[in-house]
Amino acid sequence: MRRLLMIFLILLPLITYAAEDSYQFQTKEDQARFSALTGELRCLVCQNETLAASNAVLASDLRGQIYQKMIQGKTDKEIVDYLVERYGNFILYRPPLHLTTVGLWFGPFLLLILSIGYLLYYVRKNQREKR
Amino acid sequence: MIPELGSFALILALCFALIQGTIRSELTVNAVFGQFTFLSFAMLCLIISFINNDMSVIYVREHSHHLLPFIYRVGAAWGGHEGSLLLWCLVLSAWTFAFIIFSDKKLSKTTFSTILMILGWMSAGFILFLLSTSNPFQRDFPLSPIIGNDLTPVLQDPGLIFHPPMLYSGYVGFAIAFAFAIAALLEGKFNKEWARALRPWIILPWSFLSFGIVLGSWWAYRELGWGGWWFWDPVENASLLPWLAATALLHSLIVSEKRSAFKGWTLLLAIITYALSLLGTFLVRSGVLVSVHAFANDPRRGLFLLGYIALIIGGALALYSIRIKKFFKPSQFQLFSRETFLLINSVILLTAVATITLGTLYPIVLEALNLEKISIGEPYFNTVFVPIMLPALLLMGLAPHVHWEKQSFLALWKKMGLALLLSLLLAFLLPWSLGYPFGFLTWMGISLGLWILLSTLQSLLKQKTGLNHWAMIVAHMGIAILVIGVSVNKSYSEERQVKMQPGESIMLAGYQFTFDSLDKTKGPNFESIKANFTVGNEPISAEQRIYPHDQTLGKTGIIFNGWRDLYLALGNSLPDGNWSIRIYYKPCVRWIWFGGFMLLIGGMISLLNHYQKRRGAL
Repeated sequence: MRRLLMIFLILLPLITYAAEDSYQFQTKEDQARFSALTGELRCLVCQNETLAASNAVLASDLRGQIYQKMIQGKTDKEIVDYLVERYGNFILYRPPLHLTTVGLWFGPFLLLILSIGYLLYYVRKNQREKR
Repeated sequence: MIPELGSFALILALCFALIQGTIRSELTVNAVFGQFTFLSFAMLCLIISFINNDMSVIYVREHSHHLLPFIYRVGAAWGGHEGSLLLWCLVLSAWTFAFIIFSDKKLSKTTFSTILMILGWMSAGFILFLLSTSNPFQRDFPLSPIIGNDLTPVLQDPGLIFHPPMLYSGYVGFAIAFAFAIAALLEGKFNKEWARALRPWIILPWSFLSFGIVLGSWWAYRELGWGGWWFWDPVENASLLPWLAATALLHSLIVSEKRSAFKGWTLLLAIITYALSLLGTFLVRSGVLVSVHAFANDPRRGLFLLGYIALIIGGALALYSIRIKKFFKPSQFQLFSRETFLLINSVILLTAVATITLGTLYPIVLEALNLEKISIGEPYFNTVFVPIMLPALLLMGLAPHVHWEKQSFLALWKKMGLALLLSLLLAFLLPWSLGYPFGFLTWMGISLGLWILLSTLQSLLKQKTGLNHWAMIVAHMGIAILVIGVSVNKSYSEERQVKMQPGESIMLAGYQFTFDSLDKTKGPNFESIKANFTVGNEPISAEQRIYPHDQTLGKTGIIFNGWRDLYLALGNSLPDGNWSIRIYYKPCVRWIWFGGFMLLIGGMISLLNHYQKRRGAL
């Protein structure tokens, strides 16, 4: 017991002097949500950086806005919709599924299935011809 | 005077390249030597211009500064567009020169000289491009003394000295394999001997490229200050594309060499690999990545490159489609065989190439068509690229245990089932026993890594191992370590962004970071604010540097051991007297680069084997 108390006393000053998170959330989940969200959005004035990583003033401003909206209880979708309305799809590192991006999202999988399918067919055909 | 000598050397090098490209004679060897000498001389002139800070040379003025430290003035020689193209040409001529010295003497004289001629044209085109649109020696005498624009601070790092030469040694090196493929198509001949002669010219650039990519990732991690090691930036993608294709080529070539099969496929992959190297050069060097509009405003460079590349690749593919019938041979293998596995591996790697190309070019095309401005980044590639690559990792553990021509499924299951189940189980137990939470993707990633590790080790137990087998083992284990590193790092990294001032402490992942003091220091060409921290007893400090022209750069602080990195970045000072600080806990991040480094080692072992055998044969 005394030992525990000692540890507590040693740790006490650290607790009182502990620094604060720049964006404080009630729960760990919200903290993670914030990291995930800012990690998927583009800093609009940088060469190619996320909002989470950027030191630019605009990025820090947008981080603040996202934080405020999360505190107000807005969902991820509401926040993203708000940002897209103001800045366009350019802000999203995950481009939305549109008519113009169908090829982008489905092309690779389609290509993989078709080419493996063709490959297996080709090997089979070859075998049969040999026989 | 020195820059003029440089220009003159470039013109002479061009003449030699043209001679090499047009004259079929034993004397062309001298042309290669002359070209290499004069390009080296030109590079030396450029470096001397930088060392002297000759501000009348436009390229030097734009990338140097009188305060820039000596070592970075040397590196700045290839830190910009013109200089890096000169490096490109120099590396190509160095490869050609190496080819003359080390190439397999069993190649016929005609083949040998055809390869040299093709390389000569390649070189001539690029030197012409350098001279006509991007001459690094162009002068402009200023009327008043001038201070240079300085080298971008993020490039003022040892990474700049090694990374571009290593990367270029990689992807320019595939020119030899390309020339080989064209010569094979022209002569209608590609046998085992050829495949063996070609081998080192694929292994070596592949090893360099692997290591070059690792160096780039390591640089980005330390310099960019957000703890990431890969961002799917188009410039990074440009280096990954030829790597993926070359990996497919490497495996296809093994089949050509050992089984005398997949010949057409190997030749096609050799063409594709080099085409992707050229595509990367175009993307990075034409300015199209920075902005489509910047490209449209000054399209000279881009159009020259695009035209030249279209000519090379279009010509190669046309030749391929005409001559390929000569290489067709009915296959001897069944559906369930190592051949099929290796073909699937090729298909997956090429689909991965297509995916990254799509993700890199899509925004450019949409913007050029004035349709929309979109961004494609990590979330896209995680969703699309990663699932496509997972089956390749599964096959990677399996393929070395599958027989050529024919394999029974049951026998394979009996042999490998234990390793598979064990890796699935261990991937679940290991994080759990260390107190980490369970995540499905994490489990998948670690399982696959362990699976490759275990199955590779298992192949060590049963077979007699030659050097070549060791090369495979080391390279495959490198990938396994890389995959585990990526999975663990992705899932269990922690970070905090905090406001703090000296005297305060903060906890992250069980480590206490204490902000001890703030210093003002001075470097050779910068002033800096340095935040000194301690973690346990170890000091760690991060800086904010201000360079001439008021460019700022954060310098991160890192302490590491084999298991984890602790990473510190200093942000801006806040009005309330606090500093914005970012701290990261990055488990297993070094495994990623170590795994990548093992690819280089694997490549070197394979090369050693090649030359041992050759000496044995003589």
